[in-house]
Amino acid sequence: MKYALLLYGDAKQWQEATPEQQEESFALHTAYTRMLTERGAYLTGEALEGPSAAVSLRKGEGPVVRTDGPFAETVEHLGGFYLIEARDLDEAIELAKACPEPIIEVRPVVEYQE
Amino acid sequence: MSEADRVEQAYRRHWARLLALLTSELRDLDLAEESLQDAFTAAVSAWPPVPDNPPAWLLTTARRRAFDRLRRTAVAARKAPLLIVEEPDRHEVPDDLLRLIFTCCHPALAPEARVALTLRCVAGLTTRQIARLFLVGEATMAARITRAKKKISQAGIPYRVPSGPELAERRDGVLAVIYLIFTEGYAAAEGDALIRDAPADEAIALARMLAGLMPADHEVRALLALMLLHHARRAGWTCSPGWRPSCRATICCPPPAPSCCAAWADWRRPWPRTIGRWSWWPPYPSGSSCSAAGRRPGMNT
Repeated sequence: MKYALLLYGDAKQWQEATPEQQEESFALHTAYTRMLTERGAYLTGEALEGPSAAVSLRKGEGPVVRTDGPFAETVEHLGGFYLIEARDLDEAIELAKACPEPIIEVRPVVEYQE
Repeated sequence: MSEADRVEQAYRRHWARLLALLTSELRDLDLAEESLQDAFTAAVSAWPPVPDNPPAWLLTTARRRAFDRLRRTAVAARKAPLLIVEEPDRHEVPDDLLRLIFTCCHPALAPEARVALTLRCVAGLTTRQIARLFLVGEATMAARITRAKKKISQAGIPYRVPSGPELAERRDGVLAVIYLIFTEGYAAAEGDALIRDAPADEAIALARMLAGLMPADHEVRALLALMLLHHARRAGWTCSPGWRPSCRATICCPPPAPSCCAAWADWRRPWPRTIGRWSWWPPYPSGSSCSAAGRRPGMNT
C-alpha cells in the first residue's frame, strides 16, 4: 500500500533557525531518505516553501478569489511530505517513527482499481 | 434444550473463533462477519437435526456464503482462490483469535471504536447490545462499528499479532480496552446505577479468553485478577440500608485460577495496592463517608 507522510511544523521556527540548524535538519532528512530508499519504501518526497509563500484559490460562481496565505490559520503548517510504499499500516507507522519531524500524519493513498 | 437454544449456545461458544478463522482466510473482517452471520441465520432454519460438529458446519456454510458474496463482486477473481484452502485441523489454533483481538484494539482506531469492535467481533455481542451497554442509540453504535471496519481496510491495519518489543506495547493497548469495558460497569459514566454487571462480566470474559490465549503473560493475568477482585467486592462499593464500613467480599464469580490468587495475596502493602501496572483502592475511603468520587480504578502510567 502507498502512504503519504505529511509533515507538520511551525514555519516560524524554521525561518528563525540558524544555518547550522538548517544544515543539521537537511542532513537528517537526507539520511532518512537514504534509509527509505534502502528498504525499497521511498517513492517521492518534497519540502514545501513556508505558508507566507502560499496562495489559496476559491472557485465558485463568478471570478476566482485569490487569497494570500494557506487555507487554514494554524500554528502548524504542512511543511513537506514523503510518499512511501509499506506492507501495511504498522510498517508505515514504523517508518514514520524514524522521520526527523515532530508531527507526522500518516495517510493511506487511495489506490483505484483498473 | 430447544433448537434455538442450540444455535444460541453455538453462537456463544464459537462466534469469535470462527470469525477469527474466517477473517484470516478472507483477509476481510467485514466480509467474514457478514458471512458468519448468514451461517448462523441458516442454522436457525436448518437445525434440527443439529450436525455432529456444529462449528465445522457453520464454518463450511459461512465459507459458501462468502464465496457467493465474492462472486457477486468484482474482487471474486482475486480472492476466490483463498477459499479453496482446506484446513480442517485449525479449529483450535488460537493464533487467529489473537490476531483478531489485536486488530480490533489497534492504536490507529479511536478508543471508543476499539471497545465497540472488540465487543462486536470478539465477545460476539450484537450492535444493539453494545449500544445498550454504553447507553447510546443503536444507529450511533452501528455507524461507529462500520466506520472502524472501514478504517481497518482503508488504512491497511494488519491482521497480525505484533512481535518483539511492539508486543508489550500493543498488549497494553488490548488490556486498556478490556479495562475500559470493565470500568464502564464498575463506575458507570451513564445511567442511574454506579455499578452495572453486564459490561464488567463481558470484560472479565474477554480477559479470561486473553489469559487462555497468552498463558505466559503476567500482565494479562494481573488484570484478570484485579477485575475479579473488584467485581467480587462490588456490593461493598455502594451505600445500602444497613451498610457497614466493613470489607464484605461477595464472592459470586467463578473462583479464579490459583495463579491469579497469588497475584493479590500480599495484603499488607499500603494503598493503593498494585499488581503489575494495575492499582486499586479500598472499597470505601477509610474513616469517611462512602463517596466513590475519585476512586475509580486506575492504570499506573
